[in-house]
Parts: sequence; C-alpha cells; structure tokens
Amino acid sequence: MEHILEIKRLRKEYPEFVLDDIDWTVLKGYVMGLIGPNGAGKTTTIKLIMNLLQSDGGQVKVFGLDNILNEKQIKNKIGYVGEEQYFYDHKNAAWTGEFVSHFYDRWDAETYRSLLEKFEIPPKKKIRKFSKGMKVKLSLAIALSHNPELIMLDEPTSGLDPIIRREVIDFLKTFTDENEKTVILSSHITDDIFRIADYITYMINGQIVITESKDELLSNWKKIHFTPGSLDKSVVDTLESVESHTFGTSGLTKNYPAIQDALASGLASGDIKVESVGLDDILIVLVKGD
Amino acid sequence: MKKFSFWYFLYPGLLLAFGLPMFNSDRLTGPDPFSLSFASYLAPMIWLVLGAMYSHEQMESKANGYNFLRILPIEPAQIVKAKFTIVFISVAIYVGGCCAAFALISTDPEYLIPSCGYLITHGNICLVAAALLYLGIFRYGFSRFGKYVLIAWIFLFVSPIPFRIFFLKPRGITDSEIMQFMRGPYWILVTVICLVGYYFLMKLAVKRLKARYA
Repeated sequence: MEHILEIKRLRKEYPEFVLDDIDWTVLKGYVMGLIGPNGAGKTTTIKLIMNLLQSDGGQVKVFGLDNILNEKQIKNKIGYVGEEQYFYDHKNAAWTGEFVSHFYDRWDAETYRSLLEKFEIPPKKKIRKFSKGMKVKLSLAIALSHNPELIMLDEPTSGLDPIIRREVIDFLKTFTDENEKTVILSSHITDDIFRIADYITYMINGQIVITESKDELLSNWKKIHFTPGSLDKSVVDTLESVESHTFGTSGLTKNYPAIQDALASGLASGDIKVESVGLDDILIVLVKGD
Repeated sequence: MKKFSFWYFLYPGLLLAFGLPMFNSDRLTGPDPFSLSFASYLAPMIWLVLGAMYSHEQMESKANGYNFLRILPIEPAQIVKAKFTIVFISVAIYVGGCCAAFALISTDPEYLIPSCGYLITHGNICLVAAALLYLGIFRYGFSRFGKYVLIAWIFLFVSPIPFRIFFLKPRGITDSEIMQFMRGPYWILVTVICLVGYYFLMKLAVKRLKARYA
C-alpha cells in the first residue's frame, strides 16, 4: 500500500514542549484520525507537514516529495482547514473563491459554487459577518474545491455547536467515502474521529504512542469487569486503569486477544464481562499512564 | 471602503489639479523644486504610495492576511515580489504620468529634463523608503512596526520644508544649483543605485518573511 505521508524523526522544540523525533506514515486513500489532548503536538505536527513551521530536525515527505523543497507543488494538492480560519474578512465568499482560484492548478469554480450552496454560505455577504461555523464551512469549501489528494483538517470542529459539528463531520464522511480521498483529521473530540477514521493515531506529550487501524485498535482494547478472585493475578497485572467498585473490579486491556483464553471460564460463569471501549477511554488511559 | 477611497484620492487629486497650472507659470522663471507646483506633485506620490502601503498592511494585519496566504500554494518570495512590484508600478505610473503632463505643457528640455529628473529622484526615495518599511513590517509585524510606517509617511510628506530650512539654506545651496545638479547625469546614477538597492532589499525582504513564517 502506498504512503501519502512519511515522517521520519520529526522534531520541534519549544521552551515548554518538544515534538520528540516522531515517525509517522499515512496510507493513501484512508482517513487517519489524530487524537490527543490539548498541547499534545497535533497542531504542531500538521503545521510542520504544511511547512507553516520550521522543524528542528527530521524529514517530511508528502506524495513522496520533500515538503520544504516542493512546498508549492505539495500545497497545490492539499486541502487544509486549520483550527483558526483566516480570510480577508472585509471581502465576501465569492471574491475569496476568485482570489484563491489563481493559486490552484485544479481549481473548480463549479464545485466551489455548489459547496457554498450546500453549506448555505451567502456568496455576497462579508466574511466578517459570518459565524464561526460558517467560516469553517467556507474553509472546507475552499479546501475541497481544487480536487486535493490529501485533506488535512486540524481541529476543524473545535468551538462549533454539536449540530454544525455533526453536519460538518457527516459531510466529510460522505465526501471521503465517495471520493476515496486521504484525510488527516486532528481532534480531541474523539466522537468526530470515531465516525470517519479508518486509522487512529494517539499523540501524547509530543510522542506518537499508538498508530493502527480503528478496527484493530478497538478489538485489542477492551474493558474487563470481574468479580474478586475470578481473574488470574498475572492477567490483572496487565490491565490498565484498574478500579474497584461496588460490583467488582474493572480494568482495560490493550491486548485482548492475548488474554482471551484466560477469560474463557470466567466469561462462561458470568464472573467476567467484556465491554467494548470508546476512543475516549483509551485516550484517558494513555494520558494517565504517561 | 468606497468612502475611504474618495477621501484617499481627494487630497492628491486637489493638489494635482492646482499644481498643473502652476507648473505652467514656473516656466516663466524656470522650475523651482521647492515651489508649490513641485510640492503639489511630490506630496501626492508619497501620499499615494506609502499611504496605500500603510492601509494595505493594516488590512493584512487585521485580517491575518499573511496567515491566509501562507496556506495557499504560494511562496513567500511571490508575496514579497507582488508587494514590491505594486509599489514600483505605482511610482512608475505616477512619475510617468506627471512627466507626460509636464511634456504637454512644455517640451523644452531645459525645463522638462530637470523637472522629470527631480520627480524620478523622489520616486527613487519613495521606493527605497517603501522597501525599508516592508523589511520592518516583515521582521516585526505591522502591529509593532506600523507606527513607524506612519511616521515615515508623514516625515517624507513634509520633509522638503525642513530639508530646505535646516539643510539647504544654512549651507547656502540655491535652487538653481540643485537644478544644475538635476540637469546633469547624476539623477540617472542615483536612479540606477536606488533600483539596484530596491532589488536587493526585495531579496532581503523575502528572507525576512521566510524567517517570520518559521
């Protein structure tokens, strides 16, 4: 399978934060969700990929090309939506589309027009009068109107109300399903990522701690509920975030297939129960365990 | 914006409207670079070029325009070149237009060459000033450096008066001596030096913008 993004030993140092020599790859045609708490390094990583920041080491290759040496060529094929939306806000959406169209080789004015219509963005209204949600949608319309091969979304739904957030994520899901685009979606809202991602990467404190397919991740990570004495101590020791409560004890395993046999008798007797976990649960365990 | 444009162009428009007939009257005594007619040609250039630069950068700053441009497939060099080219074209159109207007009134090279030379020299100053101000803006950002653009704008706008009072007069430099200077090849040399300087300042500005983005 072809990698659309390859990162090797990427480093960025700030006085209070270090992006610590990360290696990361993203497969072409898939949606990669980048999850992490605030300040984990998600935005820094995406900005370094976009060459919006200067790295302190390492290499980024997008479409097999060095992202610094081929910045213009690469950006021509990337649709980017940042956490903050910057526009000439005394202008309107129609002017903005016309303006950016000069910079993209494959700008499609008809796609842009139809996206504005779909998102109910008035083309002649000044952008300074737009709500945050409208600005995100406008940003998305621009990002998708030049037929990008890679779409990078950095916390696009941050600060949006749940209705607009769902609308944006649903649109993205439909769009990526229909067009088989590669998407990198960074967010600390795990629900957004759960809905559309094929692969998940967890980033904590400037390091990538997990990167694997969503299905694999969710089949490996399970929550185990067990009554006292029903689970072998050697297994209990492998569990993360073990908590005791009125009905027994619970803990998370990150390698369910490895302990499945050890749970068989407990599962049959009803002393052990296995529950699927959400991406949030994993994030909390990773942050606590860090 | 339309309202702003009206007031923005009203002042230089009035100066030019009054200045053109006065250039005609200057012909009787020879062009005087400190006469009202010349001031009425120089001031609008500074007003229009540096004023436009100030308002554009203010707008870029308010709209975070450089951040917007940064995500587009456009290199910092292209952004800088576009801004420097606009300044150059503005000065060239203004100086060219004024020289053409002078030529309509008088084609006598005795008056036309020094008059145009004087304007071109000021155009050069305007270019170099704009380039230096851009360097400051790219280095420190408009929010920090904008006030210096404003100061430079006002200073250059009124500079001929203090220059005359505090520099030329005490040294006994007369207007005719300046005109003599302008009749010579020196302003061509000054122009070449300024244009080469402008080019290198543009290159430096690209580095500054790249460094700011990093």
